[in-house]
Amino acid sequence: MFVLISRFKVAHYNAQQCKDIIMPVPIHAAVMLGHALGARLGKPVQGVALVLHEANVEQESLPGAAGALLANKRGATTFYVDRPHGGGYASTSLTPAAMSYQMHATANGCFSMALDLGEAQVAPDDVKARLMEMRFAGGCLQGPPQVQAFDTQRQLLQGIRPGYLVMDAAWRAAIALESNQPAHVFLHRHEGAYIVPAVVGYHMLTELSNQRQGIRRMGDMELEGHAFAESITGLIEFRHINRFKHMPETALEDIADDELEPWSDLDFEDAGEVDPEVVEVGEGDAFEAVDGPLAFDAPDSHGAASDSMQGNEPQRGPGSIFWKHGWSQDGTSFLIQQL
Amino acid sequence: MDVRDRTGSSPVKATLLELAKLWLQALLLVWNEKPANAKKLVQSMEDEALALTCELPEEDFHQALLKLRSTLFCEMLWGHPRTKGLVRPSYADRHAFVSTPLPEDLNEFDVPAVVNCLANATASDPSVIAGRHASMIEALSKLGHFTSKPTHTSASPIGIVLGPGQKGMGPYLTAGLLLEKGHAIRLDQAMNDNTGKTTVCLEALNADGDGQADQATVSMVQQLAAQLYADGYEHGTQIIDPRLRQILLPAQDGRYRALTPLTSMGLSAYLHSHWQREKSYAQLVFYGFSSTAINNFTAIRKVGHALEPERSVTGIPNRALVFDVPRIDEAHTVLARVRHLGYRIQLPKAVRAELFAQYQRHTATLRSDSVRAIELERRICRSALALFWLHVLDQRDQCCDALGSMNDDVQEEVRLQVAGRRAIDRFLVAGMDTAGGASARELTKDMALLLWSHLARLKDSQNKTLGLGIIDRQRFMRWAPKAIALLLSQR
Repeated sequence: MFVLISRFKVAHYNAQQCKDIIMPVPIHAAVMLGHALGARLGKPVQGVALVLHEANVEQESLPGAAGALLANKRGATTFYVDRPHGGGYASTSLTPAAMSYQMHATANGCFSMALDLGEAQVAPDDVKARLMEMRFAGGCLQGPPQVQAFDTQRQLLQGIRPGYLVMDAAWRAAIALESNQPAHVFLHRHEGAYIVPAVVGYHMLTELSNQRQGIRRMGDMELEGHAFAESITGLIEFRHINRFKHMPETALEDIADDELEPWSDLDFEDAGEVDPEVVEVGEGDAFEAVDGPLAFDAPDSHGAASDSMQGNEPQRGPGSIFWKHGWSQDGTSFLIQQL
Repeated sequence: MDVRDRTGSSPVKATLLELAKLWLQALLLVWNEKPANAKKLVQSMEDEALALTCELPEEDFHQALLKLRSTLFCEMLWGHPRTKGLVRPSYADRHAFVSTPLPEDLNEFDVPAVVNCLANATASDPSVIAGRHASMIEALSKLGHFTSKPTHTSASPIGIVLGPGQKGMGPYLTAGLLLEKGHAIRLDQAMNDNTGKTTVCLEALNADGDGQADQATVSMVQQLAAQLYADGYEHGTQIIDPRLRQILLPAQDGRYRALTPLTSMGLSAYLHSHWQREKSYAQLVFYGFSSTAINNFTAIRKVGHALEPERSVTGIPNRALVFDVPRIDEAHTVLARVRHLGYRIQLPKAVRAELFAQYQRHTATLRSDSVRAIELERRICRSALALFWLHVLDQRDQCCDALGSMNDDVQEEVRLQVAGRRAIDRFLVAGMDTAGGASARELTKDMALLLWSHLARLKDSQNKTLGLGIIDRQRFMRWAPKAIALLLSQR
């Protein structure tokens, strides 16, 4: 059974993937929301698909600012603890304006989320009721969403309204990393798809321990322990839902494949390769300057990514639209993936 | 009140004091001391000298001034960056250091000589060396690749140093991936330290070019760090500050693990040093306003010009990259433009400039050697054609996305609207060789004409066009549609 939560609007959710990357599609939080929803319903969720309809990071520009600023809010506080010498939130400061400020970035957006419940059956109203008690990446839902149930994935896809499916692009990162610096792979454009970085997991930096002071314990939730960790940044790509709905008609790659035949009757001899004789004639001072690759032949010169990042292979990529989560074999890394 | 008045109307004492102040000011200038510190030291000299002046005769006053001068010089040395490498074991030794006179033959204005003198004085004493090692290890134990400070500046300090054998985990960006790829990750200080020792350690280990420490100290720090960090190192991890997040992640059998993500400012520095605006969807943004920005990143602030000389990364702590995401109405905007205005060729500015320059060369060559000139023209245009075709495909993609979200009646209406239009508009809306679409021949010819009209309209910085004529157009149209056809068939 598949459950589709359609076009729910969320306000002021966390857009901070990590300190350096802000991107308003919190895929990790969405997968964890799916898991938490399943846990509350008593029906384990086997996979979560996320569809982006709209998302905007809250930014502002101020006179004299060097660039765009994240719209940060300290909140209109009624109460302010102003005890001196460290008593207040802002340490020794006595003015609310100097309340200690920490990095944050928020966004507003509209998403759809699909849950793969396997053989389990749930009532859409139960999903809606549970969902309204929860948050999406720390943001509040702006109203009860429409929840529908479908028996097949095909029906589910037909039920999703226009938007972009969030797909795992780890395979693209693997290819690009073979010959590129990590920063270029994760921060720069990849040709042929809309690809951005996102946090897709966490890697433990310390041993798991139950002895640390201050471990967060939640009711009857059984805790294995606590560890300090680093975030794992991966690549995700946005693919329009119509490509899944009407794959043969609209897929970009199919256009070229289907239309190979009509080109064959255009039998032009000199259309492609340079005539060797002409090149020979062309060897001279006036021609040498352009004998090498032209400046805009270089992929970097027109905003495209480097060589290996152009090598798109549309037939590759995850076979499912659903994200699953799990731990690595050595138990040190938690990842979400589309398999 | 005038200095002469305050020195008991003794012109000799007043002159001696003025001379001592000038000497100290000159010395501080040579040592490049910070103006605020210099002012404080000079003021300190004046205050202490004036306190002595009533009690002492002129000769004794002179001797007292010389001693005061020496003491203040030693005080300056204690806190000066050039001598922080020659660390004293602890702050308790400050008094002894300041009160110990330097050798009489030492020229205080000779900075390297003074630094060497201090280095030699400590190098031979085992207890001093042991103390230096202990203090350096203490400083090293306050560093970390990952610290709690970027998460919350008031959180209890945590520092985690990765072992040198740390590996990445597949196609994901982690600190381990950088180490595996041979990139050094800069260390950061986990807590504020005003003794300057952590600064010396950071300079030695982060290989900052402007390090002030002497080579012997750098070697010592590197050696001690290699021992201490041989298998990684962590400190402060026995406590989880309530200001730090704890994320609950599902583990096996319905249990959970609590993880506290920490940030590596070294990884941050690496990313910002390598990010190139023109190659990215991302925009640079800044956290917070002026003084409310996060602080305590003095060590990382020195990253400037680290990896790509032309790109300063000053102010890393407050920087972030915002990645925009696609919007559904973009596709509809593209379709609306095609419906109402028709397709418009768009090549990047750099490409347009290059096309213009290359075509000028082509025109010059055409006068002397038409064969070479024509071949040059083909080379120029083939590169532009590739980009052109990519743009057309992208637009077709957007149109498909937009059409897919319309019902059949509206789709048919759009197709009818462009039925009598150019081949490229029909291709964008209806595809190729379909009902209402464009044929391959029509499309290639149309694309060639579009590219030509684009070339004919190109202008340089003086607003001059290439001056292409009908003959040029005829020559271009003899080969360009064929080249486009081949390009398309190869994809």
